[in-house]
Amino acid sequence: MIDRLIRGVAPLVCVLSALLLAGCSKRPVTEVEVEQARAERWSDDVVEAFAAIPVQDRGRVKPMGTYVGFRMLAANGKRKHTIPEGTGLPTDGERLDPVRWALDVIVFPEQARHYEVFLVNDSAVLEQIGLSFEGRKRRDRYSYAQLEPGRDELERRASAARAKDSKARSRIESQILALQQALFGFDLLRAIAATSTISLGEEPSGRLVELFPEAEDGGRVSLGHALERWPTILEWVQSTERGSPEAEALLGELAGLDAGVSRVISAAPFLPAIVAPADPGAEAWSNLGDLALRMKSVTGASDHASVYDAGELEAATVFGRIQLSEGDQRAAGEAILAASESLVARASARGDYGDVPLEASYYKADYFYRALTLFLLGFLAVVISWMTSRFAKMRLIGWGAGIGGLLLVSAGVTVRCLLLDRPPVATLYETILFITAVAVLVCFVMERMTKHQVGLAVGLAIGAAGMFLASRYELHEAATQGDTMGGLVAVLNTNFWLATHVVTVTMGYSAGLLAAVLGHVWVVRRLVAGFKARGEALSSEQRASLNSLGKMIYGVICFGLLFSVVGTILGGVWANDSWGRFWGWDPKENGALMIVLYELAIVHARLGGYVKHFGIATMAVLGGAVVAFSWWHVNLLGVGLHSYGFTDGVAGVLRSYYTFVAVFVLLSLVGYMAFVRPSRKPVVA
Amino acid sequence: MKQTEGTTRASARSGRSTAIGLGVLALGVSGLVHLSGLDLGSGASGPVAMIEATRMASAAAYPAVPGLPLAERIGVGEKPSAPQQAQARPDVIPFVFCDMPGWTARPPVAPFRHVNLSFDADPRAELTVAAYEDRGGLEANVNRWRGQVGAAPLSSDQIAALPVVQVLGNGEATLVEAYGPFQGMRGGRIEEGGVLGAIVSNERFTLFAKFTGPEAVLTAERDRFIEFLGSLRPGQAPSRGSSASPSAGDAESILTWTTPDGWSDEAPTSRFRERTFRRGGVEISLSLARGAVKPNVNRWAGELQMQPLDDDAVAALPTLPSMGTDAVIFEGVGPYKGMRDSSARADQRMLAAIVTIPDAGGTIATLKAVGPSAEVGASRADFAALLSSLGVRGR
Amino acid sequence: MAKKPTTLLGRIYATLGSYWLAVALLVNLFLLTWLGTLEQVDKGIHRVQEEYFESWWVLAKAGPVRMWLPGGYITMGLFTMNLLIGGLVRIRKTRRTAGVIVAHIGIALMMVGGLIEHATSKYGRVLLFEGQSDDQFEEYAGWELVIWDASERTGVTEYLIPEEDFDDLEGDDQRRFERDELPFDLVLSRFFHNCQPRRAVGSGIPTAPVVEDYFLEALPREIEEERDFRGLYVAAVTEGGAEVVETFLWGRRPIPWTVEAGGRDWAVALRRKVHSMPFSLRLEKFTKDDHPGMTMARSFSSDVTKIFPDGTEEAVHIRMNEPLRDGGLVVYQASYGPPEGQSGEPYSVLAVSRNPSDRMPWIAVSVIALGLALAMFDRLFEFIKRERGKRDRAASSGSGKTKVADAVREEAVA
Repeated sequence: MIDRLIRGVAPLVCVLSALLLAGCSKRPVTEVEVEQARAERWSDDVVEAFAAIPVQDRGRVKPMGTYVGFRMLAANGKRKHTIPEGTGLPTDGERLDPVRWALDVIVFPEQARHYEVFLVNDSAVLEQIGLSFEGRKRRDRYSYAQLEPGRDELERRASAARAKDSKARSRIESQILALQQALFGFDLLRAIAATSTISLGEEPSGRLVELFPEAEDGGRVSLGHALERWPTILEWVQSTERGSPEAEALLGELAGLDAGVSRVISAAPFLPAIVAPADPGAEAWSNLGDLALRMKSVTGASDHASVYDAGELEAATVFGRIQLSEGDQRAAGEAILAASESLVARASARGDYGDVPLEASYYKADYFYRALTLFLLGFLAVVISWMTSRFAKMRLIGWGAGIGGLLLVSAGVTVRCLLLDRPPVATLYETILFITAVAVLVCFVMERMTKHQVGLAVGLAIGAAGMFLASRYELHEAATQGDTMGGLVAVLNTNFWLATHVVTVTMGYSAGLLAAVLGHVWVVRRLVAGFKARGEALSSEQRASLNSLGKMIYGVICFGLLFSVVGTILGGVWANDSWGRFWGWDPKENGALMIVLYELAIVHARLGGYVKHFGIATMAVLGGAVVAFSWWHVNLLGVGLHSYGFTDGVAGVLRSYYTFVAVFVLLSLVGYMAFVRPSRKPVVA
Repeated sequence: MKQTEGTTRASARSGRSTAIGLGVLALGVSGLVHLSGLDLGSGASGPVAMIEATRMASAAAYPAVPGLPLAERIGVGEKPSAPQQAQARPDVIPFVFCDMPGWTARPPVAPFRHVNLSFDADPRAELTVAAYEDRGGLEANVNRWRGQVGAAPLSSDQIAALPVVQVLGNGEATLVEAYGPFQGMRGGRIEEGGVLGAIVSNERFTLFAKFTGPEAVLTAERDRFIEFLGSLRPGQAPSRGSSASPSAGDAESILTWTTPDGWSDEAPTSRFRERTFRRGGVEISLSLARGAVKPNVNRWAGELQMQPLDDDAVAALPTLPSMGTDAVIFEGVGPYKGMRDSSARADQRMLAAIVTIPDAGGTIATLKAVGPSAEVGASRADFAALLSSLGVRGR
Repeated sequence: MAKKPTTLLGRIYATLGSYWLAVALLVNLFLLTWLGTLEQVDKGIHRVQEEYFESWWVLAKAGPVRMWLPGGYITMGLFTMNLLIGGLVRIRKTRRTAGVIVAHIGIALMMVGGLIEHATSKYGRVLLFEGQSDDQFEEYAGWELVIWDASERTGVTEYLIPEEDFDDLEGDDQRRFERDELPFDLVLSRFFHNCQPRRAVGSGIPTAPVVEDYFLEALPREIEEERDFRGLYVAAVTEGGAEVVETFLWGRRPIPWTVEAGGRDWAVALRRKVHSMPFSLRLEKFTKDDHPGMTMARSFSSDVTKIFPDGTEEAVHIRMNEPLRDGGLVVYQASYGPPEGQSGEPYSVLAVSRNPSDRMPWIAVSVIALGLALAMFDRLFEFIKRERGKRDRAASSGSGKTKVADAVREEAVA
């Protein structure tokens, strides 16, 4: 029976996946004109060197690769962009990762302006800012250059939207904000390099040119040099009498420099900090804006050395050469290598660089995306293996892909633990990874023990779904946090409780969800079997198989109960230790308690004989909604997640899921009345 | 699945064990409830109840002022039904000071903060002036500031040897200067930071002027800070109306009075002080307190470094009529050192009066003029006029 | 349920211990928790806690529908009996059910702890500026009326009337409070959970008696309980009823009203409940450590000196997750100020709790974990034994994960 069902479903799955793969349709490509286009691909060593530049951002030191990766993710919704054929650029058809994209933004901004990397979820946003494009889909990507004409209107509408409470914003307003942020992110990336040099002015005076012999015809010097030689300029100022005509002239002479420095200072609050302090006791790094700001407190050559520590300005100077290369790809590459080396050396000297290479490798390895691919592949293989016994060997592929995917997820989670120096689960994003890993592992172990053919498929499906969810949520984090490894609030600053309470409670969630998935499978199988049997008793083979799967569901619920009970109480003990109360009826606490109560109710209902396999399976399906409520929904109740761009949907997705569960349970009850109950006989029920 | 239940077993036994079980259970539950003192009801009911609970408090929770009108007790004054205004009774003494180019004044953010400036070129640098009743004394405050930049505490001898600067025109303030990593409350940590501050106490309040930020800014702006301190003066309370209005005191006070011409009339700076009047170098303070005449007189005598007066001497003090009774007048000349002054000022005169407010549960009002001897002498008539104008609101 | 007990007592006993009741109570508690959580959005945690859990019945709101459900008292009361009868007394005691019984004991312990906590614990806070000290803590939500001799400055005896003794006084209801040491009686009336004073002139018809041109006006309850300010009308009756003075008290301004009686002034105030600590705490230094380059706190802590009545001092460091435990009190680092982005003198907010069953959750969770583990291992060994026995046969059905299930089921099977 089950084989027949599977044979019916499998081709459908194949067709659907084929459609998905073919979904990428052609889109019009316009030729662009760029004065300074990049002639060849960035060499790997330059890309790696740039990615490895350490940045202190949002409270921790991370590789530049991470920083630009989240910028790209926030703008583009994915970490890659392919330059389409037909743009007329020498590098047509090249695939760009975030680092290569960022290099183009910094060194070849004219070219990068034309990359269509700004995702607009709804073209209504464009209409609002007075833009319209022919032949584009409602959800499409646009280039900086295309969006630029609407920028003023965008800024105006964004500040109006920002003034509103995040809950009061409309969907379009949230998207306007997201787009404004994304364009600002582009400007910011440009500014990282652009602030590293300043202009000497229109016609630099003789002594200025003498002071900055490096300045070539463009009249630009590196910020580092300017700050280094500032005491000389101060001398000029101090030797001039205030209010005299000479002072007037000096003002004009220094106008360019002054404007340049002011511009850099104004960027200080936004730029990522790249210069590590030499003082091992200091924690905060400086960005170029901070360096310029500090110049304000220099009064002369005597105190210059106390304001800047050794090598700080030199590092800034070296970094400035990237910008000074002005589109000479070779020179830029060399400058990047040198800048990376000097900045890495500063960070290493104080022991801040340790984890940066590991993190760079983490993003390069892209564990979770690859795991998603493997899980999908494995699932497809298993489905094909069901179609006909000739393809039974495909199961082996399913196993291989599944185990490979599980290993990848585990590796990713482990690397995160190493990087962050804390147990695997502390943020919502991490719960997705961990819950998926646990559920998949339990499925595989079950399959190994029972050889049901259900565990493997369910495990692969859960793995794929979990990784997909993780990638969606990473988008949300990119837009709101700019990272998934951000610093934790003070109360979470405890590895003991993260390792005990959070891990156990999360395993409880995992089991609850797994039971729900298995519940769906059981109910569908039972109903189909009942339908086929038309009131007759099921075959003993069918009964045994359903019985065994039913026991499995109950076992998973008990497993979940154990972890939920212990985890929930441990949470109370933690709260008792941190805030002085065991239980505060806080939504998150209540969510965990609801899972416990619900599972206890299932267990006791079964012990009392009120429900049997069918009842348990149906309750397990409902239990999925309970877990979803306590895992996600409670977070929406209070402060509310920011509904930027990509996660417009969290509440919507939850609502659809609840509806689905309700409809499913309703249909199963109808099905029970129609196909299961009348038979009176099935021993299964 | 086999379905069985404990019921079979229970019913197999006799009903007696059931009864015992229930009994034990009831006993246990009621015992527990009793043990835990659980009271599921809502406290007292019925028309009469006893006040059962008492507590020994180490100090009175709030100062009680007999006869305080309801509007003042609930803090609504002339503005009805506005809880925000009711609560926000700013203890702000406005200060005036010299021009500070390159600095921007920000609104005060804490009840005691009166001046809050930030340095334009580096907003991490901040200059604040706070004045409130002293907490903990000079030594603790100096070492608290030093602690904020990781500097070692100083002994009292070392503190006594710290340099002094002019603040408020005359007071000599202790100058604290220490550098090190500074953890600002607002910004992040400033690695090469520092604190430059001055503390001075007078009898009204302790003034804390504090300049924090990067060391470089501190050293560059040090002279300006000293200049700022020298220029600092208590200003006029802007919202309280001009002193010319004979409006009889302040809405916050239970006392009423008429300010003599030519005197400034300043808002209270502490809850024990009702009003301060000022002209030239003379300051007259009006306070409410509890207590007898003699201890107050002798406290004043102590401030002028005079010998305490005995009962007869106190009884022999002159009186003036005030608030329908007699005010005891005390006058003395000498080097004056207020409770919070670190050093004495020479050749000062004090003219003071105590009046026990009738029907006010022993509450006394004191009026005290202090200043250079000749100036106080010249203010005698105004002092007497002020004293005789005193009254209790609503009477 | 093959044989039904025949006597009425027996039937009650059986029902109290039945699975049926257990499931019903669990589902009810689930509904209370779920609907209560949803209603917190509008009503705030404190009020939901009162309505759903500290109540006999609750009119719960489920979307557009409202329905009556048994409240926390009924549910927990029946639950305790159900657990004791069904889970401890009537459950078959065999090696197999040992684990489940132990787990049930753990849950019972937790419920006992909860009961003790509910009845006796006190929670509050102390707010200290650096250099400041205090020897008492103030509750977040509970209020009391306090009376003391206004002439006392130190060593003040306070006479207290807790809010529970007068929070039922509505409209013209009044209650007279007496005490031998006090030369007057207080008559309390018109209790307001949240209110503000309002000037009678220009306010239309006053909704409460006007005292010196003002009256108290009721306000809707705030979502955050801490922002509710109580109000109460109070009259002092002196000299055997010969003289009556009336006024009202407002919690937002606990400056006392004074009554003259027996030749002395007495102060009367309405304030948040205050509890003494067996020591006083002085804040020496508050430290906030930010994530580098951000204003988000990585940790914060207070250096505090504990001063005992005999003058001995002890330095203590209190930080997040590391409270101070002494004299039956636990003092936690709860919060700090001034708020982010504002400057001002730093202060530290310490939460204080007095909870005799403080350690009970630890014991309970250990017992429950032990019980469940016992049940699991017992089934595991049995499973392995059985597998060994039928090694020759193909054991293709049954799952490794059913051991817990079986263990729990044994309770019934036996």
